[in-house]
Amino acid sequence: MELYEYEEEFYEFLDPGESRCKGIRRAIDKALERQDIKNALTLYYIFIEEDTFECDGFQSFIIFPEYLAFFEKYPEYHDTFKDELMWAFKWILGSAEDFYQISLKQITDIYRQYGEYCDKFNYNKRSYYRHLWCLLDTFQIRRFPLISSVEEAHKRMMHCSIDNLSEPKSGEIDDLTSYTLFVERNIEKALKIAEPVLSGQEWCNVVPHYTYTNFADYYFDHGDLKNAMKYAERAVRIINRDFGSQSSMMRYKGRCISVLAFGDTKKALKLFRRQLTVCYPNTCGLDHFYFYRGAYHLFSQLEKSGQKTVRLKLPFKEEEIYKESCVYSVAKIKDFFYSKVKFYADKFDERDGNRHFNKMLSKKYEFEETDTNME
Amino acid sequence: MDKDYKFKVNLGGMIDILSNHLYSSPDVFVRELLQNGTDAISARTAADSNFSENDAKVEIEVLEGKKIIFRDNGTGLNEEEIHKFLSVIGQSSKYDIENNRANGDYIGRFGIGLLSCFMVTDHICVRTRSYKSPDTILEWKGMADGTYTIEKINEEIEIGTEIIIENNKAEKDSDVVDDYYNCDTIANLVYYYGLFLKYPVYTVNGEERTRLNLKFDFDAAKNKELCMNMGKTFLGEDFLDCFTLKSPSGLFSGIAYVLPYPVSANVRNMHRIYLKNMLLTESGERLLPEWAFFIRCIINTNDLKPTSSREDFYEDETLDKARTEIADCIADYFEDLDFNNKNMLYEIVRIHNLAVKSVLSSSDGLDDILLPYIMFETSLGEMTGKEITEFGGTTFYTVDVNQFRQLAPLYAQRSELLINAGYVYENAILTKLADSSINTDIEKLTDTDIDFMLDDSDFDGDPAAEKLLTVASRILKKYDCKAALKEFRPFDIPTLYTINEKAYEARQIRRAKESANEVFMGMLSSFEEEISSSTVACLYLNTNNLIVRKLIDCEDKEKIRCYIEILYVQSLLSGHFPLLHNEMKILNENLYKLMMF
Repeated sequence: MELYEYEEEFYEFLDPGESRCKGIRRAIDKALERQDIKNALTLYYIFIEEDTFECDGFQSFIIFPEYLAFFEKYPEYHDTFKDELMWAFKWILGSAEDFYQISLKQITDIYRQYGEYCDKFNYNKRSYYRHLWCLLDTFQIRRFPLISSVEEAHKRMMHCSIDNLSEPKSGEIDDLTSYTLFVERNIEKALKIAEPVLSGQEWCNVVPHYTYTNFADYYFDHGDLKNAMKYAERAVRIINRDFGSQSSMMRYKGRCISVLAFGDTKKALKLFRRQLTVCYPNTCGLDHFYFYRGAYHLFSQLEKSGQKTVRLKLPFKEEEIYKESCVYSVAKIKDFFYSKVKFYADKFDERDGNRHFNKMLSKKYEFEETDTNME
Repeated sequence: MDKDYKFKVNLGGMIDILSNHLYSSPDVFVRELLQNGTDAISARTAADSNFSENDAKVEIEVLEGKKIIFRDNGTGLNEEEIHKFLSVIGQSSKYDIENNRANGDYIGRFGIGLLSCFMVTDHICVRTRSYKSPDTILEWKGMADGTYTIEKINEEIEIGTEIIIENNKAEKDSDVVDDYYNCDTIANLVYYYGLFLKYPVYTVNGEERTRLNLKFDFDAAKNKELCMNMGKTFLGEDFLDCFTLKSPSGLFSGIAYVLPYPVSANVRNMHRIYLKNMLLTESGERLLPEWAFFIRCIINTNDLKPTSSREDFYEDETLDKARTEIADCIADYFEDLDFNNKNMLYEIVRIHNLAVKSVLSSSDGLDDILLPYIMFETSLGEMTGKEITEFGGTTFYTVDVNQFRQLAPLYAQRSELLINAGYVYENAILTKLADSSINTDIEKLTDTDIDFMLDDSDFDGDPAAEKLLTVASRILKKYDCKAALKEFRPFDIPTLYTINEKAYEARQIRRAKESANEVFMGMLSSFEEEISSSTVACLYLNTNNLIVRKLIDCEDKEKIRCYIEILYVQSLLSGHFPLLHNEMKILNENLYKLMMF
């Protein structure tokens, strides 16, 4: 059976994300049943790719250990399939910290093992250090002022040459932009670096989506609502275009809702309404944190503007707040989403042993001019 | 060490790079010369009050195998302009240097177009007479090594410019170059690149002049038959329908064609894109919204910024705006069909079901128009969005195709509606359909809904049945599954296994733990710990089924164990749930035991 036959039989026309992942899982089982090692190896990779870019990445953590064990059983295929395995491993690495269920020690162990696999298959450590500085950025720079280890990891990454595990050019630019924005905090330099992405010359399936959101975030945190809105609106447009019905961009949508809540409440509410049902099944804690923080900002702003009620189709049927009428008090719905976001902030802070997420949640945003469009 | 150093440029090498590597084929020299000619005419039309646009023309004379002469009656150049624009790479007369922006009326903007001629010749000769100084006629000769000369000549020419290129290329494939010194080749290239050019382009052979380009105005493309023929000629398809694309802000105009057969979203539709009526590319991809993959178009734009390879446009706000306006044009077209030609709309939705679903999933504007036409697979056969919203009551959908296959017969028996939303875009569309529906509640199916759908068993309260239930629950506990007695049709289905999302994940985790190494084992356990409290899996025993009825009467506990475990694994298999290692083993062991009874 050829790979395309598995695709045709199991997942070709299935809805991207959850539905297609289930189809690919069935294709893997079929390949395993047939002892079709090569296609099974590729299908594992396809599953993780689908889950990473179209879902929340959770299923990848469940299937990857099985993939790794299966890969290890067949050393004769290592040369042919090592790139696929390592890319999948890289995606796992990239989102390990997004799940509060994974402890810091477990994250460290996964990093260590990825590094060992880089050595085992003679890859240089560029991708390893790339993820390491991103991780350190998240865990230290934004949470503690420990810049040296991030800089060190970044420096080491830059010393390694580009190899098969390196990001595409657009990804490299986005990384460097992110480093310049959040580590060096140099907006002019970041804009210059990001130019090929912002002008559309370099792109991939998640860039410039990430890049626009990062700029929006930077400006938002630095009190420049006008520029934050400019980038958030661009991000929303392109995310809606490419990932309208998927939950994989949930945290980015949430971050944009936070900005729009202060700049154009109507737009924020429209985006929130459209994405709530889509994002609800997502299981990634970090995604939920940002999405519910966006909701909290949105309903806080609506409350501030004097709006008393809001019409929402909530997917939380099991929650006490749920009403068949779909009409909710703005104040109550704000409190409801605060409790949701607080849950995740506490979980992450408990895992990380600090107050970073709670601090982020309690940060007060004040802008000179805000839009408080009501419905 | 603070001294500033300047780059040294090997001019001949530069010209080689620009002329032989920037462009994909020598063909483009015709485009570049047409472009220069029409830009010069546009400039003269604007600046020279004595010149009428009606007199504008570009003429091409080909001396077979020897020489090609391009003539235009545009502005011409004076000596200063020649030094400034013809001889400085990267500087164009079309570029407003002081204001650092391109002049909107002109096609070219990089100042390197003329160099493309070096792909087919080693010498370019430009004779020019400026409308500003008509008494002086100048001749500029440029060589491929980067040198050039200028001199005044006495030969009489019209105001404008003529560019003469000779078949004298010393290197490269001389056979390939020879092909360009042919009247038919040049005519074909003019037709290819400049068919819609505003000014007439002629080939000249002695006294005979033949017009090569069409008199066609995209803005006034109302004749459907003509447009359909153009689609067939230029895009090579017998299209299903066509409609005009007209930007309210003047960004573009053109014709869009609906493909007559279904296409995959992954197929890149190549559009024929003109920039100021000159062909920019016939493989343009990024101008249309991504969801419009069932449409191809011939489109002219005046304001979008081409990339330097001239095969697409810069991603900027203008391109975003153009995309939005094109999306609006498509929406207007559908709206028009909804009012005036419903059959065509049904036909389009039938053929391009996937594409139309894609449109709906990624944009909001067309919901009211298109949602009623969309087809869905349901437990009661194929139904349109309209039929579903008129069904009434509460209907359910599932995003799992296998769950649909498993449950559809049960729902069909009860004349209840279960919709399959497992295929691409359907989940998002059903969410929208649910939002727009007044009479019908459309909800995602949960395990509770299934429980509610199945009838209570007549055997409820029967001591033998209760006993079976207790034994079955005990047996299934080790699989994190409970047992329940229900009645459902078809009668020949003995059991139905349902599992909520969390329980499904828990099953997957248990499966992964069977082979995980120690690094991942701890992580999987952490996930499992959190999930296990909320898992629900249930094996419904159908008391309408003969096997289950026999089991109720069975006294032999070991036999009951065997049957329950076999039914459990069988229901997993019929629901297409991947089996854990021990489940397949259990099936075999129990079949063996049955043989021994």
